[in-house]
Amino acid sequence: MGGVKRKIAIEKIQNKNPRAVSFSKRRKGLYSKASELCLLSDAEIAIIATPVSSNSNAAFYSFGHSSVDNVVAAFLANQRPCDERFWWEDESLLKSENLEELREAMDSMSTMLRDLKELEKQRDHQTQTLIHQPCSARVCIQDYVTVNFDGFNTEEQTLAVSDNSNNNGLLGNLDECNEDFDDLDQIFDTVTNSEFLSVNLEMDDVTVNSEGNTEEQTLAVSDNSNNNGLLGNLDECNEDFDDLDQIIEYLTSSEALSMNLKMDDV
Amino acid sequence: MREDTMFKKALELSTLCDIEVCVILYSRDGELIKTWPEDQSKVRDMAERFSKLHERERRKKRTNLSLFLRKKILDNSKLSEKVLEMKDSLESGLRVLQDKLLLLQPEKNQTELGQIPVINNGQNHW
Repeated sequence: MGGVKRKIAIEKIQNKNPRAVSFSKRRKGLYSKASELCLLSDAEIAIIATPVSSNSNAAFYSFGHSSVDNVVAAFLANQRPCDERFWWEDESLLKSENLEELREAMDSMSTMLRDLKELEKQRDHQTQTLIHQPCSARVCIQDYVTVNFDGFNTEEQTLAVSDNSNNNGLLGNLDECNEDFDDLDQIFDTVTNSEFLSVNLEMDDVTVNSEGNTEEQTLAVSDNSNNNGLLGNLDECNEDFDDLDQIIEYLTSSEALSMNLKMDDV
Repeated sequence: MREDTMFKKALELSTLCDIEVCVILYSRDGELIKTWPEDQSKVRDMAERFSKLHERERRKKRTNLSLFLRKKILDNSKLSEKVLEMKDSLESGLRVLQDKLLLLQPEKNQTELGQIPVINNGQNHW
């Protein structure tokens, strides 16, 4: 088993420097938990802490949503907090004519706005990266189309199964599929995903038709029982691919498929 | 629950660093859920001391949800909705403040006008 985490006693830290370090780290942890609570349950929280140093003039450390002043004022007056959503919607700020204060607020808001735009760019970039991986996605969809394509007979469906090199290629493609599944949890836009699937289906129709040449037909030399088993696993993979919530089942099918491929090599 | 986790962390922080910590928690509909410490008189005392600080002192080490999340970007579908909402509010608020700043600037004399830093934005014309 792994090592056991060391737990320290919750008592005052005597040395000055370790105490300051602990204050800095644990304060961030406390703010993190408070921010989770604010986002998930839309609660309004204010946290006030005295500084570690004994200097009585030092400022308080505080965290607040919507703002510390708002929550503290409401608490002192035994009232409910105002309905303002963010600190920059404060009435006193809008009415203030202090240029310094206005500029400071605008700088802070500009910085936050820039950060939010960068965040959206990151998400879009991730989605684009996933869409532009035609190889692995094409393999999954192509198998799906092949199984349902009426023009193919049983003999042609077994084209890529008997040759060892084709088996190795298939394994590589499955590995890429697995990598995609690890990343699929980051896709936010279902509509984009659906459009992506539609486009690839149209492309794969052409790909499937081009595979019907005579040269490949000569490769159909193999044991029928193994081929049927392999096709069955492919059907299971295709079903799993349609329902992304069954990723675990897909991984199990992938393992079974790998074992089948190893048996075919023998 | 997350509330208990937060209160436990506040206790640990106050004990380890020998400082005073207070937490005030309101629900979405404005009801006061809980405070830490439980004794509201202590929380009220600390809140009053905080309120009596000068505005400049209060602003020094203050942070809020949006500023805190800047340093800790959480890429998540639920959070992204909040991010979009925050972004819209930021844009509108920034526009309002810019208009207000333009109105206030003509009141300054020429010397101070030259010292005002330039804000990189197409809407500003000097």
